[in-house]
Amino acid sequence: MKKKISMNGLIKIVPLAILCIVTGMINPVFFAGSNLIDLARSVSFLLIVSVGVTYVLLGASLDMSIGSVMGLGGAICGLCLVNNLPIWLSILMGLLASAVVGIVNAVLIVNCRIPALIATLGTMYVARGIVNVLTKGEPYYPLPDEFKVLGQGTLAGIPYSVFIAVVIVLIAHFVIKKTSYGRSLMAVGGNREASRVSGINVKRTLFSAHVLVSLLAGFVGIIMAARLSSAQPNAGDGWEMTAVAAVIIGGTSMYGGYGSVLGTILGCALMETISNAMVLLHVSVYWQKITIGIIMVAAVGMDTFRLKKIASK
Amino acid sequence: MAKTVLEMQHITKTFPGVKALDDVSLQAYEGEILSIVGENGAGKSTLMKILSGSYPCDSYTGNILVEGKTMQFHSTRQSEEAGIAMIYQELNMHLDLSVAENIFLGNWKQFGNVIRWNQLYQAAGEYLELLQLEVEPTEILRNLNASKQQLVSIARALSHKPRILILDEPTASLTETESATLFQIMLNLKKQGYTCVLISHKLDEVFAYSDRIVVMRDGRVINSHNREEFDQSRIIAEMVGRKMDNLYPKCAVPVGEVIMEVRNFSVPHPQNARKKIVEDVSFSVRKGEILGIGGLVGAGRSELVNAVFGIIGRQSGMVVIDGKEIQIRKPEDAIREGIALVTEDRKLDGFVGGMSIEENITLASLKAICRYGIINHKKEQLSARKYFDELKIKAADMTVHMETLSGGNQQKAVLSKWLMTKPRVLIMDEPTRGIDVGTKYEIYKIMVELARQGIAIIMISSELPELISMSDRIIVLSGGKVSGELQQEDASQEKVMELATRMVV
Amino acid sequence: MKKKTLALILALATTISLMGCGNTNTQETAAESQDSEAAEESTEADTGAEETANGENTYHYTFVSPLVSHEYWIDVEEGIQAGAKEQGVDVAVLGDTKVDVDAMVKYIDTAIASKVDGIITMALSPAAIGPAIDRAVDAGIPVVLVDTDAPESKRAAYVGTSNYDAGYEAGKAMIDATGGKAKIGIIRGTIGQETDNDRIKGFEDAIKDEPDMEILTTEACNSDMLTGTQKAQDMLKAYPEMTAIFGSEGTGAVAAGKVLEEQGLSGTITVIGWDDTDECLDFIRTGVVKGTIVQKPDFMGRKAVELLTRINNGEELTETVIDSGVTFVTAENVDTYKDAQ
Repeated sequence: MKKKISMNGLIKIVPLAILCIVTGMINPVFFAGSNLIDLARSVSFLLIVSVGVTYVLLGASLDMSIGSVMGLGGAICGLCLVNNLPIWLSILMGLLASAVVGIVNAVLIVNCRIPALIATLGTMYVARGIVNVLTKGEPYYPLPDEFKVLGQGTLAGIPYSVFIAVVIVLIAHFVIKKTSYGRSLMAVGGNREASRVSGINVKRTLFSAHVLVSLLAGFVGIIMAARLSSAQPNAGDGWEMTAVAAVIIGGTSMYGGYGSVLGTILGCALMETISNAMVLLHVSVYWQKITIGIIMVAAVGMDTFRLKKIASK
Repeated sequence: MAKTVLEMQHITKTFPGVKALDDVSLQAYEGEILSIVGENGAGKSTLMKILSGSYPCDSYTGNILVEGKTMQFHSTRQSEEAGIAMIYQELNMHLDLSVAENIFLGNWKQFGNVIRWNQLYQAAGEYLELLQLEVEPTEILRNLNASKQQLVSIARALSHKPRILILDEPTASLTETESATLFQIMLNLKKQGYTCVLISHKLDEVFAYSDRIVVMRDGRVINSHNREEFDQSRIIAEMVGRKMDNLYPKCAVPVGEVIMEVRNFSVPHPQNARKKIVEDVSFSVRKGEILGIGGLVGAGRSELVNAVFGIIGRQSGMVVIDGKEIQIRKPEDAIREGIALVTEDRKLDGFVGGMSIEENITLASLKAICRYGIINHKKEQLSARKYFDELKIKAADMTVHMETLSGGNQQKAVLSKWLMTKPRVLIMDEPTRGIDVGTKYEIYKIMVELARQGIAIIMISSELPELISMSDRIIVLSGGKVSGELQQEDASQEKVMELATRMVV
Repeated sequence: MKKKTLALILALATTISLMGCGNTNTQETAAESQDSEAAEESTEADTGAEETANGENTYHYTFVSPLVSHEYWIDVEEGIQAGAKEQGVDVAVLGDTKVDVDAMVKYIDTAIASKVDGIITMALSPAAIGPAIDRAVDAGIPVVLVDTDAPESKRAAYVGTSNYDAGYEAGKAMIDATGGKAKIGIIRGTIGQETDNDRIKGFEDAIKDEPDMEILTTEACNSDMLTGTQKAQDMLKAYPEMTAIFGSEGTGAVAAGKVLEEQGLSGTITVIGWDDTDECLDFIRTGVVKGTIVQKPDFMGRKAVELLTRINNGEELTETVIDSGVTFVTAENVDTYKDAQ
């Protein structure tokens, strides 16, 4: 059984490996240090959000508002910064605003029992609306240099955001695999009623997953602002789809209870590598979306197939 | 001898690593009720799936002959066309469609591209009449009770104009009386020339209604008995492969002081807030005692224990443990107070299918294997292993996913989960539903052993022999109220039924 | 202000109670939030109207904006409001925070229904907006288009520089800046957007007779700054021979500027962008970006109000297509071009 799992893991790496090797053979620039670093940075942004999304999906819930929350986190932080608030306080305010959206999501879904899709679509519009009201469509700019370091600084040539992502991934993986919280989340996603009967606090578990994903999204919004030296009003637009796609490609089930943070790394790496490789391979921009779409459907198809196989046993 | 309608010759089917069916041959005759019995995993379901075309003909070896003609089924559709109708264990019907729509589900075409509803309802009515089922064809299925839904599914099967009806555990969700009605109908169908193949774990009904019994074990046909040579203990011995002298290994255990008392419990009806599904029920249970709760489906038995455990809300009443009133608002509270509940429908709320056996066993005792919220995997493995071994769960190892286990082994794992919480009161709602004879016996033995250790057990059961043989004391519910209490020595099936059907004012 | 808050609370309450019903589909929720914005806008306009309409007869116009939160359209709006002040008329603004042609048609119909004296809008998609314009004109409401024309429709006048012409100007600016020798990468907004298509077409036509100029690739950044930087990075690596970048909307040139600055490549690549965002102007000052094409949104807005008022006063327009022209902002005029407008 153990062997089987690692085999599954290996199979998942194959498409990514093939993509990397083929791209590298056609255009050796792919394997140049600078490209890999740029790629790592892109992956790190997507990955931090996707870790949160992984948690929510594992709990058999959904969050469509993360793109807007990214915009909100960045905008609130930017607003504080242009008003000369200290950097730490500005970041805190950005995170706080994101957490508030997460809490609203959680209350709507967990306490008011509104379907997650609808509740978070609602907060998606509201959060983006708040960003538009605040920014009036113009980016917050300029931002202090000390703040930009968060998104532009490097250590040994590697962007900080990569280190941050690695730390977050390690913690998230540990929590899922080794803690009673992670186990509870998996159980709630797998069978909510059975978990409740077994004495697991279902509400608290889902509540925290929703707050966590918002916090992580807001955090990415903030480092994105640092990276771009400006808090853009449309930052994060559409990221909810990209992140959900990455998580599902990484093998986490839409139906909850099955998946892993490590799979999400692969999903994010695959998504970003495709978009990088397309440019390096001089592929027309029109084909990029088609490719991502096909991979996405194939990945979800595999998930459904897996469930069917289990069911037929 | 009657004419052979169905013949299966030398069927062998292998799954990776396992021989599920090994050279199985059997015949079914016109107008007979043939029962196939055997433990879970004996190959009955596999055999039926082959017959119904769920497993296409190239996935096994051997021949199927219907009325002497060799058949090759590639799909369930082809099997239906050949006159074989399957009635599944789980209802797979659309609860929000009408009775008539369900009966002709997938066959609406015969009523035109734009459905001629009057014809549809009329045709449905004919089948309902055949089954003596008094419901309107326009009624929405959800509004019917379980037994009527079951009958509708039989009507659906009949609408395919079959020669052979296969019923897989048709009475699993039915009460005694409802089951009796169903069998009357089967006897009726038999008279009209239908052949019924019955798969059931309830041996008493098998003995009562079958013309012939085929025993299967480990993928092979062990023996075939005609009605005149039925011998319960011999057939059971053949099923389990060993001699079993007593079906119910109950033995007297010294009963201690009262552990838990439930006082004046009332639970609102889930569909109708003004009605009560449980009304003013009080009972107590003692150390080492097995308290049975009898009653018909809908009498409020499950609702009572679910409310005690905090799964559903109650309207009034209190739970007293060791003389002190305790507050139970959610299952967490009940578990903390030493109460455990093996729920009625294990698939629904008993286990997490996508998780391993080990993870399911420790699910209700995460605190015990955690330190600062971090799971001690060694400790987890050790504690789960203890129950895995003690309860003899049959699986390659503990990392196997729950959803791949048989019903009996799933139930053992659920029981393990609750035993790991070290309960003082163990509530079991239909503990042996859908479980094969061998595992049933093991579960009874575990119950007795737990009672010996001083655990108070509350058992809800719709199987009267089980209820009467295993309980020290039985309370019977009727219409949400306690209609009577029986000591083991006074209990009989008739007395329980009498109380269960008595209206309490 | 109080009114505004009240409208917002009301909209929120409706939305939440709707969601509470559980059967609201997403479209309704979306519409709800759009409506709440519209409600907010019109409440604003109402207060304005109360002030100016103090017993006096004045014209009421509606401006249907394709994108209320966008800098460019905010500039158009400011021009309109300035024009309204000059002319002593009143203009209400309707619009969405997403580019959505259906929503625009809906808003135009709303304006027709409320019998305004004139409509200002842009023909996001002439095929879709045209019939709505005709409906307005048939109802006796004159329509003036800004930025993007629908010449087939019954609109009274058009003020603007077509995107094709502006793109052509950008191409000429690129020839000047590179001396006619360049290998160019284009960063556009979204794939399939008509404005972008026209600008790029104009740009291509401007350089097509230059033997030493060539377009290497076109990438889309979806008007998202982070995507823009990633595309710029990737392009620099994929096309080491690239010597110039053209950003056909507000994001591309700024994104390219950020990457060039970060990699210490400022000045080695000629960047020409679009729109005068603050970030872009700063890059022009520091020399990272060569220049940017600025359409004159402010002028378009002012002129449109003026034209509507002249029509309402019974004047026959001699000129129905008014070229607003573009400004090419470079380091020389970056601090003065606004005054020149």
